[in-house]
Amino acid sequence: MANFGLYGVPKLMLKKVSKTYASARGQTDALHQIDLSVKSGEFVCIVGPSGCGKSTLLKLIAGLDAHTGGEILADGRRVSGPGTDRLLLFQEPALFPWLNVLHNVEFGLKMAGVPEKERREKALGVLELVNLLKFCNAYVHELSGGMKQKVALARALVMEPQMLLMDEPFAALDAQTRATLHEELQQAWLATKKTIIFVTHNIEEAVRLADRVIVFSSRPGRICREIPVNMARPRGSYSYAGIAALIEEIAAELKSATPDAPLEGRAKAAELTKQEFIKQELAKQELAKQALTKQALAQKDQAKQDTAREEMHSEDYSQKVPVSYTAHSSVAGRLQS
Amino acid sequence: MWQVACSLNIWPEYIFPSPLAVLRRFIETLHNSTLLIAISTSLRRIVIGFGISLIGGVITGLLVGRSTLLQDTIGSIMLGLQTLPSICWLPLALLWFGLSERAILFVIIMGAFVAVAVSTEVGVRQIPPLYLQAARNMGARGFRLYWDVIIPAALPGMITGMKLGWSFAWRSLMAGELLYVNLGLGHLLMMGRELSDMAQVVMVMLILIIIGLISDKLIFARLESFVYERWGLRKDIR
Repeated sequence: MANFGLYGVPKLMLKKVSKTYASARGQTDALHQIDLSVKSGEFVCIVGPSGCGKSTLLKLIAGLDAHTGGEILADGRRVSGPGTDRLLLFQEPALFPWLNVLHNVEFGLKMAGVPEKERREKALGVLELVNLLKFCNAYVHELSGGMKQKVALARALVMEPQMLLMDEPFAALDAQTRATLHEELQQAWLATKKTIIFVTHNIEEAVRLADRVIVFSSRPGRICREIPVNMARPRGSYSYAGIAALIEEIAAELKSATPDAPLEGRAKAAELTKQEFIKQELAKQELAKQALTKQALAQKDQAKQDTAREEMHSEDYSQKVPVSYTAHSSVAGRLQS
Repeated sequence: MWQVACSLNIWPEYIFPSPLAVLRRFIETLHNSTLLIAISTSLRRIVIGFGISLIGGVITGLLVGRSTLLQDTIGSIMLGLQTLPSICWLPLALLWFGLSERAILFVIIMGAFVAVAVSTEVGVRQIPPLYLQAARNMGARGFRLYWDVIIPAALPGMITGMKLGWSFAWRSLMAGELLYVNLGLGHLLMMGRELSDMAQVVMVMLILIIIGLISDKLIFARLESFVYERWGLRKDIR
């Protein structure tokens, strides 16, 4: 698949995008002159401290909020309002409690005026792919957190959007569910090369998923660094030496990007040329070996924590029908169509 | 117990009627059809008055809840009106409409309309912004946004408003009928007082209680439990 959209126009182009909130206490700069270009089929993760405006940026791209400066171009067209080509997945699943699962998934198609029979077919198809067909008559409060998020994903996928904007969609889930959803998402993306912009504060998540990690500094939010992640996919957690090293690097970057020293981070970003970056990569590989041993220790800890969590959650699961997360290939197929 | 208390003859019959007397009166009024006329007149008034208040109140509430301009103008007027007991509209209604059906409907509407509108408006304001963002993101706008998202999302608030509006309407109706307006249960109650017919007074009061219970149990309680169950607000009370 070509890396560029029609006529080589990037899928998404941000030109000096700013967002200022006016309140009684004066003006707050949420985002300051963001320049970003995303290729078609690219998976971009945005990490940053909380309050750095990364969620705001997604809302601007989705057209749910108006930017106060600059220009946002999606597929070469200026964004001036919400559109179903750019669908936002929220941290909360934002499903409608008055509709059952099926009608929730059908909602967007209904708004688009798709006839009832057709939208029922499409919705059932997508629900089958995320393995929730059994639950199509369930109401939202009867679902677990992971299932809700999958319904939200199905609700977005059924619209066949050009771009998926994901705002910490897995942040509220437990570790196991998150890991399986990471896998699913990677598989789906690998098969379809949909453009995904994924916001998170979890560095590990970002490195695991992204082609390119964009580090934000806070107040006002701005890009302080972009780090490409050139590692083979699919990536498991801690399966590559590079992941650990990259995580440490981004963590260090985030530290320097705290509100006290935003300019420092910015200057750093400007200094970093590509060559330096390659040098760093080499040095990193050295570091990675050390990091791996550290990581192995950490992993043991994690495993302990996970079993503890599992015990905690096992009660939850036994109440619901067990969810299977083995639908990657079918989701992938759906995305492709 | 009631019958026993009466049999003791502590109070004279004209102050504390026995259930038998009340029953006798009930059958009597049923026979000469005054009771049926009274009940049907009152019910017709309240159904029309409440119906108008419900439709108007919900529409007003939906509009005011979504617009800051309307909120600043109509919204604050409504809050002011809410503090006014609706029976205070009766003198004005009598001057405007005369001693007519329209006067009592006006009083009922003034009582119930504001309650419904204010509760609906609060319901609309309490819709999580996330629902609206998600809906707009999926292409909902204008009428569809109202019909498919805002109305169902505000339904819990609307039902509170309905309950409140119904009881306000009922109270205004009784007050109006007791004071001036002919026919209806309130009028029957008043006639009982004027004729010192305590059995009739108690009978009407019992009928009012029964109507209240029926409307609450059959309509509002069911609506409410349906909505709460669907929304997942209530899990297992028992």
